[in-house]
Amino acid sequence: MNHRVWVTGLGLVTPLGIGVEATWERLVRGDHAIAPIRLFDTNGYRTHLAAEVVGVKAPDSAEPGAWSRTSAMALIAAREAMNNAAIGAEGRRIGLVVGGTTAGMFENEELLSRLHDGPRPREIPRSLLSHPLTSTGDLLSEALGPFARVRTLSSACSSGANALIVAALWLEGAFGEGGVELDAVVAGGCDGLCRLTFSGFNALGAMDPEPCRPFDRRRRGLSLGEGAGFVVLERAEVARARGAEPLAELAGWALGSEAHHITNPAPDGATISALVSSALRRAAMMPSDVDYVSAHGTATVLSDPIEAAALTRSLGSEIERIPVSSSKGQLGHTLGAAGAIEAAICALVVSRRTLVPTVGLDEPDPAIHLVHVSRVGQVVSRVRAAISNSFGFGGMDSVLVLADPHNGAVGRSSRPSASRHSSPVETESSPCVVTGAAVFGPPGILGARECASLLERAFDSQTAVVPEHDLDLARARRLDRASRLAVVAAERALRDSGARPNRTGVVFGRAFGQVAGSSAYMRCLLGRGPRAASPAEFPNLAPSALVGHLSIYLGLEGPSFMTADPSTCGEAAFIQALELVRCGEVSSVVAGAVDAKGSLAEDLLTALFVDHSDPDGGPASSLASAVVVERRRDVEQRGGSALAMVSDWVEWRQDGGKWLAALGTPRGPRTEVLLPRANESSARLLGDSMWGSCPRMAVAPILGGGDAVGAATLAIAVGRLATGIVDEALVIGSARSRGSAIVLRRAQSRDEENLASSRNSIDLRMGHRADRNGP
Amino acid sequence: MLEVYTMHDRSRIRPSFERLDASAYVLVYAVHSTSHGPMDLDSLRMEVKCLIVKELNLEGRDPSSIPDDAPLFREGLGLDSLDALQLAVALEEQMGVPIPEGDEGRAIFRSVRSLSEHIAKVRGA
Repeated sequence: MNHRVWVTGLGLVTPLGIGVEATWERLVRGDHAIAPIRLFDTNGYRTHLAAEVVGVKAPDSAEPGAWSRTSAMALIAAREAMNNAAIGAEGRRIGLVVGGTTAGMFENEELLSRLHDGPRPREIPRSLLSHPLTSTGDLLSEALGPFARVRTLSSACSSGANALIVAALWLEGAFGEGGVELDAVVAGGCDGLCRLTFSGFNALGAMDPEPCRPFDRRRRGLSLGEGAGFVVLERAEVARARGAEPLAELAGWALGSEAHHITNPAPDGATISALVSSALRRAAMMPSDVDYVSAHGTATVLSDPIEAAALTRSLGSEIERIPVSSSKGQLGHTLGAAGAIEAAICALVVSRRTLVPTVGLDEPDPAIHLVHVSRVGQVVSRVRAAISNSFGFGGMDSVLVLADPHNGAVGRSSRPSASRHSSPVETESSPCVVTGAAVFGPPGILGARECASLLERAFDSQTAVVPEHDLDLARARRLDRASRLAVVAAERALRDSGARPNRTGVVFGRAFGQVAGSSAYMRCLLGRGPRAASPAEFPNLAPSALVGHLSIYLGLEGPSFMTADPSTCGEAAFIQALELVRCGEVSSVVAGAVDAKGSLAEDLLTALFVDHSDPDGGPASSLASAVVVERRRDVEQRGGSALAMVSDWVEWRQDGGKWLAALGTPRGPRTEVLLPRANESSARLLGDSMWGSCPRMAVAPILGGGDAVGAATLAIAVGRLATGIVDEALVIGSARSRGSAIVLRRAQSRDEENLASSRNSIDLRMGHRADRNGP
Repeated sequence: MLEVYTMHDRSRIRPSFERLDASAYVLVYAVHSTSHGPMDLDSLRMEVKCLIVKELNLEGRDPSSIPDDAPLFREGLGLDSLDALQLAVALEEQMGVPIPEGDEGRAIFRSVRSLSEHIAKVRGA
């Protein structure tokens, strides 16, 4: 009961209008915004239509080049959501989670094309400031912050939904073990139209030449859109205490992976139906409680009937009663924003008891058995719960349940009995452990124990790293180099771990996404035209393609998404994995990072974003690292063994000193501090802390300072704990205005731990989770 | 291999195909097709096989091991709809041969033989 998550604010920028009211009025009226594109030339494409947002621009004070259209839309929507919730960042601990796929791609397309084979520019072009996915979160922090935590994630077209799920996990009290709780989280998704996505979907033959027609027998594909949707999520009791009114409750959610194909949906729709059931179970609801479904409904030939069949399987005969619609006929497919925009629409449907129609649907496909919403402005007596589906490339699927907060537990049906899929809500907490770790790079493929001595042993850093030696080439043929490196590391870590792939998720960090690939693709597109665009290459350009490939190659069916961070992406991925596991979203997660840089555009981005005070910035390298995290109880149940225990973690923005203090003190003489990079900020943090006197080692001077160094540092720490070299290790990843600290300890059995429990506060701190289930 | 690029004698080019890797093949084809008229069907089939191996990243697969009549998609070579799209773009971009959409395209994509016949037909037209 105590940890219900309320939606207390909404913000929307959509092709139908800027602002929630402007959008809603036209949504329920049945308008659509799919029209000829003005943003760029569409000569040579199958369609000239998309749903554009008109009238967004960067703030007047904007630094030249820093603002993409995507960020400008995000700022308007996030600000509206915070105003709507009447909540400000000053004096409060507020988190920010941003999902997306394109960021400043539109602003950088011509530049990327030039950089592909062009000369190095004398000065770094300022527009690159808007290129990284993280640029939106950074700009929002400046404009609306300070935020206590910021996460940028991408899972293709489920990015927006996953941003809300990560926010909900944060509110569940997963903000490290330091006892730090967030008051609220601003979460959403944003994506601007660009030639890259337009030409990619065009090459895939996935766009309807006419405005898209979800569930219609004549449908021929999607229409692209753009926009931003943000919500403010708060714990019910915190919101109530400040007198805030809920618009809806984020009552349930579920995320998982199809592990099937990089573009095509799995024909059996099994993941979708399992997730719908799982999300309802988390909400303690039955299909009979559901009064509306906002379908993914992209209007592609394959996907619509698969989704309809999956809904029928999971909702049973109730599907004959529940109205289902897709707003994509009005807004187009807004990609990384869609999941958040549609969640906001569901919150409005719940609070205003008015359904949103499926525009473009005139001749329902007889093979799709759904109760369509064809009448505009359809008011209903009640909407107890609404389901919102979002499915992304690579099979990354997410389902949200937005419920009437006033309906409460009283009106809900009793919890359904356990089914094949274990309940995501656990009543007993258990510490997280690491069961596998690996590094793949110039030293070779090293498991955890071999990683222990990696810092002391000699290897030639120029050794060619050839992942092909360890891959099934037939299955790996669609994987780019970064994905191949990551697969080799993850496969090794998983093999040592013994975790079951179908109950394992994957979170990997990248600094800038698939920059080299985008650069080459744009060169081809702008040089030779849309017909030359490679349909096979396009899906690899989604920032989340890496995790999609990992999931598909390794058969990982748990949650999968990528986290973006210019300097500490491996640490961020690890912490995100811990939070997924600890909140019971999945049994195990393989987390890591990969570095396979080598393009001019990436060099320039690194020069712009990676801390210049960093003495180990290091050359680009081919390096991948992965660790497997699980709950100790699950490991014990499957008869596995832990290499190390995760005792504490904390992540911060701005000044990390106070957060490091929250970690407590080193436990004993055999404690070591491992630094991915020994930079000024980590030295300053340690100088002020109790950990300053522990021996410390830096990894970047040995493995290079690329994207994967943080993940490799974690693997080395695990190795040193597993082999008994140390009893405790603190890993601090810090960079300009962001950082994290993770404390790992030697794995102990339950009995050993009980003996030494006087200083171990983990279970006490986690005690608040025990009542999560409510009645 | 450089020698092959500059050769102008068709009879000498053909046997060397099998030793070419797929990426080198496109260069050979570029040189070859500007210096000669249409190739015979055997050569064309080999050309299609090399294009398949290169465009679809069938690393380690010897182009000559692809049977002329085996189905390309699903049970045969195990290709899927994304491969079909990629092949269609490559055929148009690199060979100047458009592939129609729908059932007609599906029939053309049945096997290396049907695809080669289509290319020959387009070129002969």
